[in-house]
Amino acid sequence: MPQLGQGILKGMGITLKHLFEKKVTRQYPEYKKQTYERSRGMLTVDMDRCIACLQCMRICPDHCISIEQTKRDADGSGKPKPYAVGFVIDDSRCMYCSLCVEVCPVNCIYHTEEFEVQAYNRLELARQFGERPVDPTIDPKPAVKKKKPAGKAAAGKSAEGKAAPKKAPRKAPKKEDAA
Amino acid sequence: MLSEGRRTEEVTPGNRLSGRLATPDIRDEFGLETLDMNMGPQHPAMHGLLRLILELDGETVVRCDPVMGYLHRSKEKISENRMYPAVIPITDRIDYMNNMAMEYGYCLAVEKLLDVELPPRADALRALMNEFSRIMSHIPSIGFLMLELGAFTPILYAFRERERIQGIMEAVTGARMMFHYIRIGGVKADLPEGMPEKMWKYIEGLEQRFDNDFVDLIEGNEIFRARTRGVGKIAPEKAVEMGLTGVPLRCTGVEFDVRKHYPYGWYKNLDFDVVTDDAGDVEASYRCRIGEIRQSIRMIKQILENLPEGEVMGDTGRRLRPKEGDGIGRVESARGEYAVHVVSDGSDTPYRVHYRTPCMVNMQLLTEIVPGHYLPDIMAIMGLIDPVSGAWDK
Repeated sequence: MPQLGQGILKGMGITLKHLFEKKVTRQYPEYKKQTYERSRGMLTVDMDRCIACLQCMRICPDHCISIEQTKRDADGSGKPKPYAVGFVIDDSRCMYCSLCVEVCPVNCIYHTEEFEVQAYNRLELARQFGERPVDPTIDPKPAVKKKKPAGKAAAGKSAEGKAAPKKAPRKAPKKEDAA
Repeated sequence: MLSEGRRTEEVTPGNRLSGRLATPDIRDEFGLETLDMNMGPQHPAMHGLLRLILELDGETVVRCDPVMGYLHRSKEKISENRMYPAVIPITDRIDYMNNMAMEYGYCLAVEKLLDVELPPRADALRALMNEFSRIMSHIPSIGFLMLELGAFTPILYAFRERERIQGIMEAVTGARMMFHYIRIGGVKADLPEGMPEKMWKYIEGLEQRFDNDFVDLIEGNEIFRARTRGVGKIAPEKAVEMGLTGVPLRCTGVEFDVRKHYPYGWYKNLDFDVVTDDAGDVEASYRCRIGEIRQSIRMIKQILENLPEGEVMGDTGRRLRPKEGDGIGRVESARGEYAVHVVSDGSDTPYRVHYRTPCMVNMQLLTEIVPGHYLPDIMAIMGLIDPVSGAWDK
């Protein structure tokens, strides 16, 4: 049986030892932490490479990407191709999951190292990348295609609740012939 | 479920939520009144957002009713409206102290639906990161327990270690807390260049610092012993009856660990012990957590020693459309058994996702073992359960 108070004294010794060690606290605004190659910061888009395939918009769990698509003959081949005239990333919604980065077939959307975002107004956080601004207040919910409830009986569930359209139809892209 | 107090009337949800005691007659045989008190939901020492309705007789608790739901964000319903890969970031936010296990359970469930074969390196990396995540969760748990008992120093050392592991995690996964690393059919990416050596160096340093900073500082302390020994005593039969898992079960001496008894992934190839203790009180839960961190360190060393080569992603196809049916993924999270039940109707979003979180089940302990203890002992018992509010509310 150790004497009463011995454990406390031992603990005091440990804390005293730490007093002379190197400090681990960083004074944040002056000294920023090291960022790594894979660190996920704010998203950015290289619009020259974007082919407006809308895959990032469809996969985004928070619907933070809205793209206004049109057909345009951008490379002069004489054949109109999908072209993103409007591209907005709403940082107030983004959760930095990097799903959009992974689905992008041409690697035009990627994470930067910036992580400090601030604004007085929520709408200021929506960053426009295209030549024409997109209204960020419109929710770009993509229509998720559900299978017909024929197979639902096999799963043993009633199909009533699920078959109903659960999402507002997405705002149709404006048809504009720029070509 | 409620304890036998002096209540003469059943507590209904209505009067429980109004915060008023259901007993019209609150005088005991000596004519003394009991006091009802609210603890939380915004209590500085409370784990997350939990409200306890307490009935106090002097400083002794007569009745304790937890009120949950202050962090309810309907994660199960959100999961139904998202495509299969897009649910993983949501599972990250269930137990925000041990995110990797949450991802693991969901991915195991969907992989059962898809019948996908995982490359061995993906399995090993999952186990490796999962054990790092467990250390990341257990070390602050010990720190929080000490903070609530009045010792401020251990939480500083705990967060220093957590910060260092977060650095490793960020270098590997890209984020410090919400990793989104485990994917359906594998993991996001391989380890970066030079990372196994860095991990090995860190783990060896942690072993030494661990003995110095935690074991020597806490274990011999008389105040810690006086505050935790015999507090929150659970009988093993009672623990099994209530369906507890994780540390609250193992500290009573019942040996149950999903990793050992229902092995999944790379855990089949690992050699580790299930840490148990027979006291069943707060001190025993502390010793269990210390032992589990040691076992995690041992496992990480084993994985790093023979890490298989090869791909990190299995072939799942471009668009995930699992066949109709259901799949269950069971994993051992830092707080107990975590299971995910995914029902598929053949489309690209799940039909139903259910998360069985250990915190929700272990929370029953509050009504069962708190009555009879002193008011400050509640925080010690919360340290035994170590709940996370994102996990009990889902």
